Amino acid sequence: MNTCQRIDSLVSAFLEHEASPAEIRFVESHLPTCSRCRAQLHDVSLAMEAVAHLPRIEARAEFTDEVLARTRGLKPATWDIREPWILTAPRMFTARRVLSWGVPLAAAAALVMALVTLQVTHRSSAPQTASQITPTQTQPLPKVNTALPGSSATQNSANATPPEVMHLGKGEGQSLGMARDSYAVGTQLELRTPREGGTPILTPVASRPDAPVVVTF
Amino acid sequence: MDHVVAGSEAAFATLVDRYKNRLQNIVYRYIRDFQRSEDLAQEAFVRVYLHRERYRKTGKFSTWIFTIAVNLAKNEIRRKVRLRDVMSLDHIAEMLGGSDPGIKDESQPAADRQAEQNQSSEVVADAIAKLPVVYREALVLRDIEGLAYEEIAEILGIPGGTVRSRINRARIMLKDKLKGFAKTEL
Repeated sequence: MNTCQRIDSLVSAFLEHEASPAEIRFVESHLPTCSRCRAQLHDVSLAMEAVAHLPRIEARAEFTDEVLARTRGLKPATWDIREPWILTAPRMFTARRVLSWGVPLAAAAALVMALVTLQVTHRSSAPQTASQITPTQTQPLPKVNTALPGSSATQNSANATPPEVMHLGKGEGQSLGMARDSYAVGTQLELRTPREGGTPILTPVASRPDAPVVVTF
Repeated sequence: MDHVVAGSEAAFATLVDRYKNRLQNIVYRYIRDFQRSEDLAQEAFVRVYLHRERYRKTGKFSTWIFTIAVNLAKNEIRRKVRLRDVMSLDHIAEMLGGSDPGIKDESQPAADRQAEQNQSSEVVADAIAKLPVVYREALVLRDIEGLAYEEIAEILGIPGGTVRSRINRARIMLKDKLKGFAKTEL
């Protein structure tokens, strides 16, 4: 910041006698040598004077009676007027703000819908899809990491229903809650609940031919 | 204010009488529309009445009601900007009497013209109306209403240092806008 710019930043404080002694000395030492800053101070003081002399708006004589008429019969509100959202609610719906919360909301809704659809499809179509899995089951199973070993789902494999075949596109795995997003054709999956609880996720099981889901991509 | 909280209409009328000119003046300098400034100033009083039980005695009443009025004025400016964005210029000119939100031109109603008593006032008022809102509001509250920096900071919800720099910047911008006129009239 050069000297003139610093003077600009001090114009109001200097004119309103709010500048510190050091600032006053700085301004007063610069003004005699700089016509531009002298003019700046002079013109700003003229502008302030012009604003101060603007006519005041006078409310109409009926103003008070009209306000009283509007408030008659009104009960005190139960919400706080100082809550920002009340006074600025329309700002929530500007395009930029809608994008900021609308997109994540839409993504979350899509994920919930996908999970619900997967669950419904799995329950309703498992017996009918058993015959469709023969080709994929015959292929060698890939070596995959079991993300959540020892979950409860592995303990009742004896009476598991035949696996269901799912055909997924690239990138759809994670949105369905899979531990990974890319498995080789024929990867077998189980819906497992983590030990610490929470949402069950589809987890690959390498040595379980009777796993309830077989994924083909 | 205690009597207003208790529901006294007479006390509320006294309050309205005391603040109506200042309130309408602030709103008018924001939006430069006499009729709308009256509507919004009345709306501010209605909100005070509705929320009278929420008034905090620790703060100044003037700060509270000015904050409400300023927020209403800002919402009005946003509404006009949205209108400008979605409607044609012809519609805007027809509805608002001006081409720039918050700024009135020579087509403004008689009440507005009467508010500015002479040509120099008109020019100064125009120049203020053309300042960006963040500078305009700081200038109006300080140089027209004469509020303290601390009260302005509370009303606008910004730090005191920001208020000071905005007011300083607003005055310099205003000076630049008035430059040509100042040589002959101010």
